[in-house]
Order: sequence, then structure tokens, then C-alpha cells
Amino acid sequence: MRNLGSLKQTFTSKTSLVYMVLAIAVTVFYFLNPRSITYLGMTLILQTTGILGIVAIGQTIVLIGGSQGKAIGVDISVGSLIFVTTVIACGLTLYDVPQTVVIILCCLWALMIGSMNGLLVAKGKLHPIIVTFAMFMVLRGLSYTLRYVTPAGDVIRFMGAGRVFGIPVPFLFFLSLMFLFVFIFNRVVFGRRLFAKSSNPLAARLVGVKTEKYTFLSYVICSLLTGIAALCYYGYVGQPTLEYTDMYTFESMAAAILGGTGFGTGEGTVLGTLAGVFFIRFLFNLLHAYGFGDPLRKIVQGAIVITVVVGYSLIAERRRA
Amino acid sequence: MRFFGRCMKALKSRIPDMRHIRKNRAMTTWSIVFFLFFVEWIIFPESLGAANLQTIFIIAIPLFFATLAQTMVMIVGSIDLSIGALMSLTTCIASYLLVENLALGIATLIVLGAVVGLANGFLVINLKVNPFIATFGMMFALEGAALTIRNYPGGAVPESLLGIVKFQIYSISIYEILILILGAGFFWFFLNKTSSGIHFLATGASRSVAKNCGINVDLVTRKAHLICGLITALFAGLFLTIRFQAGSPLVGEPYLLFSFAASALGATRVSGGDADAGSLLGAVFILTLIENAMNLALIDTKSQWIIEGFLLLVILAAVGSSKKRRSG
Amino acid sequence: MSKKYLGNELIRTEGIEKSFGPTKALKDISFKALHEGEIRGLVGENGAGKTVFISILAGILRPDKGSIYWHGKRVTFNSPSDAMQLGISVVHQGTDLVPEMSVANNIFLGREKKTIGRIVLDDKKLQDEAGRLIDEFFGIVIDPSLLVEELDVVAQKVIQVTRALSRGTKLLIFDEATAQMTEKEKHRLFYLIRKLSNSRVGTIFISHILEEVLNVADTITIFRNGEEITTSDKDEITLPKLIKMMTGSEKGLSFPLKTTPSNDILFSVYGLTVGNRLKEVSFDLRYKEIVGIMGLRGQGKEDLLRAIFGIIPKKIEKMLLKGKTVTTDSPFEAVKNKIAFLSDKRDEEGMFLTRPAIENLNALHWEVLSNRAGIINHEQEVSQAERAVRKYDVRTSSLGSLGSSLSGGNKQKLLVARLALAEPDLFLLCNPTYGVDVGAKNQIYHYIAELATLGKGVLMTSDDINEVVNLCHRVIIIRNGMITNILPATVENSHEILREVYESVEIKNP
Repeated sequence: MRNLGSLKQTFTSKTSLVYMVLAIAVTVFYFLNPRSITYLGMTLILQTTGILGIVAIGQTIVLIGGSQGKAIGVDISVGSLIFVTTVIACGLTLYDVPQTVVIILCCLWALMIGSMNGLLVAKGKLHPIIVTFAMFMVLRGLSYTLRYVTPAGDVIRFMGAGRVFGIPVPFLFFLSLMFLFVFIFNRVVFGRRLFAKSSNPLAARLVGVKTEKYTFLSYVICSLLTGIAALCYYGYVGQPTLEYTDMYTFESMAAAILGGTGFGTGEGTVLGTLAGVFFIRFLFNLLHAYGFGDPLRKIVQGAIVITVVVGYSLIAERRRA
Repeated sequence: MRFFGRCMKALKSRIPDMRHIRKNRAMTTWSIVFFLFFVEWIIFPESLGAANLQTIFIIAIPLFFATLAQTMVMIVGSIDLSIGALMSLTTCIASYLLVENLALGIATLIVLGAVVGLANGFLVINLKVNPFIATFGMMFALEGAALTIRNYPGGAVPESLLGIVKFQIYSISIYEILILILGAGFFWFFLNKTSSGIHFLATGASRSVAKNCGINVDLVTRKAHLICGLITALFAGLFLTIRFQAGSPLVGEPYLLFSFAASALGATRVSGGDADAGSLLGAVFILTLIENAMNLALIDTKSQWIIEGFLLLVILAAVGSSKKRRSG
Repeated sequence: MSKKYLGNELIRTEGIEKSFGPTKALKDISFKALHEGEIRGLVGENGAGKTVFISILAGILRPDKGSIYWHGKRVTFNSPSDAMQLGISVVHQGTDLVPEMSVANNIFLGREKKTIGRIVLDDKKLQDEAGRLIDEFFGIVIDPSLLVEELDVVAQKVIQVTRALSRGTKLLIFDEATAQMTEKEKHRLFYLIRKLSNSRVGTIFISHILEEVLNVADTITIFRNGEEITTSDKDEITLPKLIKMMTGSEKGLSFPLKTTPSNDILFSVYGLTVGNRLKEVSFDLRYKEIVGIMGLRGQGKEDLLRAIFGIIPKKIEKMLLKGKTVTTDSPFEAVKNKIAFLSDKRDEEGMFLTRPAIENLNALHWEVLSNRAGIINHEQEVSQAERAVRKYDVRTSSLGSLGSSLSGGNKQKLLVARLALAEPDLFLLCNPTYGVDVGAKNQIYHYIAELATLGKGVLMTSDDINEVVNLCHRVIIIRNGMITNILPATVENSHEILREVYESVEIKNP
């Protein structure tokens, strides 16, 4: 019986598969467009990868722990939450609220949204799709009515556009959060219980896991992470665009799924999500470089995600047979 | 053995007569409709005018068909998140083609709806993709397609179609009402009078039981998706184009949530197996009247979203708790 | 007076064998010919092979060896629909109907066009036809427009049977169909089943309530450990004879020596009530004691441990563990009070199939392995798991293998290990050796005995009299939701214990 290191535990066979796919994809992309793998190209990618990555971690957690009964956990409200949080941050900055307070208030706001989602799903037993979709609607509406535009203060701008040793700050956030969650998933009781609940909610309950609590917390964590991502986004962009923030919803889900997180099956690794995030960003970059407009990009992304998901399930079935 | 006579009532005493509850839901929904209309009339006297009546119906028709399409897949236990995007795409295509060649335009819409419906069915059944992911991906694909065809609103609708819709006798929009009644009527007929309808309901209610009785549940699900696609493109999308007299790549977006909202209000069970034509039509009108009232009150579209989003949450909470009460 | 069968031979089998991995579920079953109009009772303990055999007859499973003869001709079933085509239908416990649809719709589900012959459904015609069928088969009237969910259990069974018969069923198999029925309802069902035999339909009736079978059947087949022991006419057999033939030991079982329990009380329950399934149950459990719980299915045995553990709601006067009052309104509370529970459904309620073995093993005691911040001590986690795997002989290729990769017996051993690692004071085990091969069974017996020696208390449900008398110190017998007796569990007492268990419900003869 070999002694298992924590890193080894995170590499389930699915994750290794994901990294293989990523490696192949990167090679292909390089041949198609050598410019994307230069230092400059990479830093550009890292910039937005960080922000997407933070949200993707949140989405991964909801996919793992946010299920309720037979309904699979998902958070469709993340994109619009980014937008509204950014607008709120704008508004507060406009009224000369000190930066740290802005950050704290925005995080509290995100926590509130997450709690609402979590309560409706965990206690209200409503379907996560409908709950987060309704939340998406509400936030969308808010995003239309609230109109504040002002550039961010220094602190937030550093969060979003700053660099440490040449690496964009959001990406550093992403990496640290990733390590944090790898640690939590592998070495902290919370992570164990979350995965137990994801793998078999009945059995989890019978070993004393408070399943409702974990469902609730999944949504809270996801929204909190989204809030942090929103602040980085604000610092980077200064002025939010609806269309781009909407993409975060889809991309965060796609990244998590590409990274091997099953829909409420108890499988899921943050490292896999990392691979997924990179995959998505490379794809975007490549398509952009080839002059694919937004619409076509969406189509291609959608098609690719579906293909990969289908591929995973086919492979899983063949392994089972 | 002294038995119980030949007539076996065999009724569970504690469960109330379900049929009464079922028959009443259509009435409840419609009472709310008339109540809302009454309230609206008091606040906005012009709501009874010819212009507004026409508006009400042209709002209601695309909403009705979008909800109907969603209900079709919900009945069999599936879901379709691409309805809104398909409607947008339809408006973009229709606003080009219809003015050129009406017949070709309609034919294209039929093909479009069929292709999307078949594709969704294929993904869900043959590739065994979770319906949520499958139609979510399809939604993005269709949105992208819509944006390629039309980057901003434009196009036109032929006069002939507009004429049908605007036609009124003594301020009553005959054709519009007819369309709605026919639509609801066909749905009712399908559910209650055809064996296909029964198979759909059985598939959604208890998939395994349906399979054991020899119903091809996979085929049924694929059919449901196909019908959904056709209804969305040919009816919901077409009438949406007529409503705005233009094609627009994002116009169909809200209809996805509306279709959910109207389904929930219209007593369609989201998990499958149950739907009611009358309540559906009533629910559609509830949402229509709310939107109409907000328009008359000059609340801008964007704020309407917030209000509708909140309303939906409230409704869901209420529906959810009443469901618990009934089973408790 | 036994009935002479003028009907033709309907079905019989020769040499049916079926194995699942190392377990041989059926060893050479030659089912004596069943004739039209005959009602055959099929009895045997849990695990004797009844359900597997029925599944083979219904085309759900394929036999490894042997043949099935239908009307004297050899047949093979590739799928359930093949069996259905021939006219074999199974009526399970629970409802195989669509509750939200009407009686008529359910009866004709999938065959509406064939029945009415038109595209447009005529509700009235469907309902008339449904009503006519029910009357024809059972001679009773049920309003066909009622929704199935409005009917009581017996009526639902009637509808299920009508549906099967209207599809041309010639062989009806009732598999524990009387579960969840009250006495009165069962009487009505038997009356109706006997009416069926007049219509030349053959019936196989499985039930673990022996009096029912003696009541309803014309002939009785006894299964034991995967073999057909005998088939006899009803008159040739008495209840004690039946019990004796049903219960024989599985070969190869070995039990540890019994130790003496302490005299001090570890755990006591007063006035436990669960709805109308358990009424005012009270008993004590001493330190180092293993107490078995026996009883027929549906009599309340399954609910007892679940109620104690807080899975199902209960009313209770008092519950004392180690002298202190405890409440268990949820599994979380029970676990906190150092009570451990082993479900009888290891895949649905025990294992985390998509998680590695090491997580499965440590699932009950993560707090112990972690500091106050919740961080787990990895070395401790691994070493504990390794020790557990060695001690309990859980065969898995590595600690990181997923739960799904273990065999049934090893999963069960893992679950026992999981409970033991948590070092609770009280163990609640539901059928701990269910579906496990002989080797693993023996190991589990030793583990349980050891837990007792360490000073814990064990409450376990079981259907196996051998297990109970050789492993347990006392046995609680539950009948009709109440404890009818608590007897010392000794080999000498086995007969008396079985009598208490099986001579359960009163069946008044018509």
C-alpha cells in the first residue's frame, strides 16, 4: 500500500486526460499561430485568465457541492454578478468611498447574493437552474438601471492591471486561490465532506455530514469569488461591458466541465479547472487572432465544449464496460 | 367471506380528489387574469382601447408559443435553454427573407426549427448529454449565428403578415385571438385526445413504467425536442418578428425565462408528466398583462426585468411551498 | 382437497444455474411444471434465490446454464420484452403504474390505438373497456376515471394485474406483492387471485409470510441456498415442516466463540414509536453484548435501527446511552453521540463510489485526524487507513482506488472498518452480511465479535437464524411493530425463535 502524496491524490485519471488534451491543444495552437506562445502573448492571456480562473473555481465548487436532490448545482448568475458588482464599485468610488471600504462592501454584496442563491436551493429546495437564472434576470435588470462610470482607484487598479515580477496580479490571485482550494479539497475536513456529499448525499448524511449546509456554502463561496473577480475586472477594464461579462458565465462553466468536473458526481479538481481555463483562453485568443468575430467565436466554443463533454462521457462509458 | 359488495370504491381517504384540484387550476389562473385586467383598466382606462388590445395580443402570442415549446419538452422530462436564442435567430433570418419571398421565408423557418429540434434531441438522447448542457451550448451557438446575420436590429416584415395581425373588428383582434385559441386548442387536443400525448405524459411522469409498457421513451423525447424547435421557430419567432417588425439578435433572450415563468405559473410540472392547456394560456396572459401595465406606466424595459425577476422568485417560493404543503 | 389440473403445462425449467462473480445464486434449479390455473407458492429465506429465478423467468437476467420450457417447448429470452411477448408478467411490490394518470389510461398505456382503433382517443370508450375488463377478471367495479394515486394499495394491484392480463398474460408472478398492505387488504387480494385461477392463468406467488402462501397457493416450491428443495401440494405440508425445510445452514460458515457480556446496561430504549410501524418498543443492551433483531419484512424490524439513528422521525419516551439521556433527531446528532450505523444498502447508503478507498475508510472520524482548524494530518490518515485495510482484510489495489472498484464483500468489510475506526459506543448494523460471500461473512462475524469484546454494544438485524444463534447473545423478535419476545440466542432455541418469527400474522380463512 503506497503512501500517497497530496498532489498524487489530485491527479485522478480524468485530470491527467485533461492535461493531455491541453498539451495537444497548445501544440496545435502554436503551429497555427506561433505568436500566441511568446512572452507578450502569454502575459496577455494570463491577464484575463486570472479573472476567469477565479470565477471558474467558484463554478467548480457549485458544480461539486451545489446539487440539491436530483438537480445538479450550477450558477448562471455569475456573469451578471460581475457586471453589477463592478457598477457598484464604480458608484462607491464616485462618492469618494475609500478603496478598502469599497472592496469590503463589494465582497459583502457578493456574499449576500450568494446567500440568497444558497438559501433558495438548499432550504427552499428549488432547482438551481431556475434560482440562479432568476437571480441573473434580477441582476441584469439592475445592470440596466444603475449607471455609474468612473475609473477605479489605485488599489483596485492594481488588483486588476498591476503586475508582480511581470505576472498579472489577477493571475496571482487565481494561483493562490487555486492552491488554497487544492489544499482545502485534499487536506481539510471541509473539502472531504463537500466531496462526500457530492459523491453520495445519502451516505454523507448517514456519516453525519450536514448536507444542506454544504449546498448553501457552495453558492456563497462561488458568489464571493465572483465578487473578487469583479473587482479585478473593474481594475483592469474600468468600464464593464455586458457582453463580455456574460461570457464569464459560459466560460466558467465550460472551464470547469472541460477540467473534468462532473455534474454533481463527486469528481472535480481545481487543477483540472486550471487546465480548462487555459484551454478556453487559448481558444479565444486563437480565434481572435484569426479574425473570428464574437458571434462565430461563440458558436465554435459551444461546439467544442459539447464535443469534449461528449468525448469524456464516451470514454467513461467505455472504461466502465 | 362477506365482501364489500361488488362495487369497490377503493379510495384512499386522506388524499383529496385530485381531479378537482386539477380542474380548478385553469379557473384560478383565469380569475387572476380577469382580476389583473380589471385592475389595469381602472388605473389605465386606455387599456381597453383598440390599440392597447392589439398590443396585448401581439405581446401574448410569441410568449404563448415560447411557453408552449418549453412545456412540450418539460412534459417528457427534458428542458430547452436555447428557445430564446432560436427566437432571436428566427427574427434575424425572417426579417430578411419574408419581404423577399414569403413562401421561401416560411419554409426556411420550418427547416431551421426542425434542424435545431433534431439536433437537441440527438445530443440529449443519442449522445446522452445532459439536456441542460446540450441546450445551453446550443443557445450560445444560435446566439452567435444570430449575431453573424444581424449585428444590430433591422429588416422588415411584409405588409400581408402585419395586416393579419392588425386586423380588428370593433376593436377585437380577430385573427390574433383565433391564433391563440387554436394554439391552446391544439395543445389541449394533443394532451387529452391523442395517444401520443398520453405517451408524452407517461414518459415524463414515470419513464421506467412507460418503457415497461412498450413506449419508446427515447423516440418520444426526440419528438418532443423536434416539436419544440418547430414551434419556437415557426410560431414564436415569426410572431416576435411581426411584433417588432424587425430582426434583432438579442430580442429573444428574455423569452427563455418568461417561458419558465409562464410554465411554473401555468401549473406545468418542471420535472415532467403534467401540463394544462387552459392554465398555460392563462399564465401567459398574466405575464402579458403585467408587462402591458408596466409599459403603460412608462417603466423602462430594463427596470421591468428587475420586477419580473423578483416576481418570478416570489412565485417560485410560493409554488414550492404549496407543493410541500400538498405532499406533507 | 387438492385441485386436479386439467390445464396444460405452462412453464418449467431444468438445470438453471446463475452466478454473480464468486457467488452462485442458483445451483441447478429444475422448477416443477406449473399448469394453467395453478397457484404456485414460492418460499425461501432471503438470498435463497427466489428473486434471481424470477428475473430469469421474466427475461431480465440470462441463466448461465439450463433451459426454460414454455408449453413444453424450449425458449430463450434475450430481453424482458421477449418474456412479455410470450405472456409472462411480474407484479412487484410498489406501484408499476403512473400515479398521475387515470386507471383506464394506465391499463391501456402504450396500446391505446390497438384498443380503440382510432387516432382520436375516446375517453369514454377507453374507460368503458377498462371497467369491463376489471369486471371480467375480478368481478368487481372500480371507477376507471379515477387517478391511480387516488386508489388504495389493493386497487392498484388490481389495476396492475388487469393491465398484465389484458396484454395476454398467461403467467403472473407476484413478487412480495403484499408488502405495505394491511391484513384486510391482503385478504381481498388473495380472494381476487383465487378468482384468477379460474381464467386459466398460471400464478407464482412469492411471499416471506408463510401463512399467506399456505393460504393462497395450491402447491408450494421451497428454495434454499440456491437449490429447489421440494415442491409439494398444499395439504402435504404444515407450517413447521415448511420452516424446517427453508432454513438450513450455508456450508462453510464458521463463527467465533461467544464471550460473556457484562451485566451493566450500555444502551436502553423506552417507548419508541414510529408512526404505525413500531409501537412502544423498549429494550436494553448491555456492554459487550450482541443483540440480534429478527422479524419478517414489513413488520417493523427495518425501521427500528433507522429510528434509533435518527433517519426516520420517531416518538420516544427515553433513550439512554452510557447512563446519559441522548436525543437523535438526525444522523448528525447520532454520530455526535457516538452511535454508528451500517445500512443494508451499501452502494446507495454506504459507499462513496467515486471517492478513493482512503476517504471511504476515514469518513466517520475526520475530526480525530485533524486539528482545530480542520486541517487533516496526512500521515495519520494514511497510516490509520493502512492499518484498517490490513486488519479488516479489505482487498483493494491501493488506498487511492475508487470505491466502485471494490467487490461487494470488500465494500462491506470496508464499511465495517469505517465504523470501527470511529470508535463509537453503539453499533447499529442492518443485515451486515447481506449479499456477501462465505469467506467475507466469516471475517465479518469475527470483527463483530471483537467489537463486542472491546466493550461496545452491537444491535444487528438479520434474516439468517444461523447467524443469530451463533453470533448473538440475545435476539429480539418484532411482529406487527411490537417486540413479541426477547430470547437467548442459542442453537437449542432456534426452533422457538423461528416459530416466533414466522407464526406472525393471523390469516382468517374465508
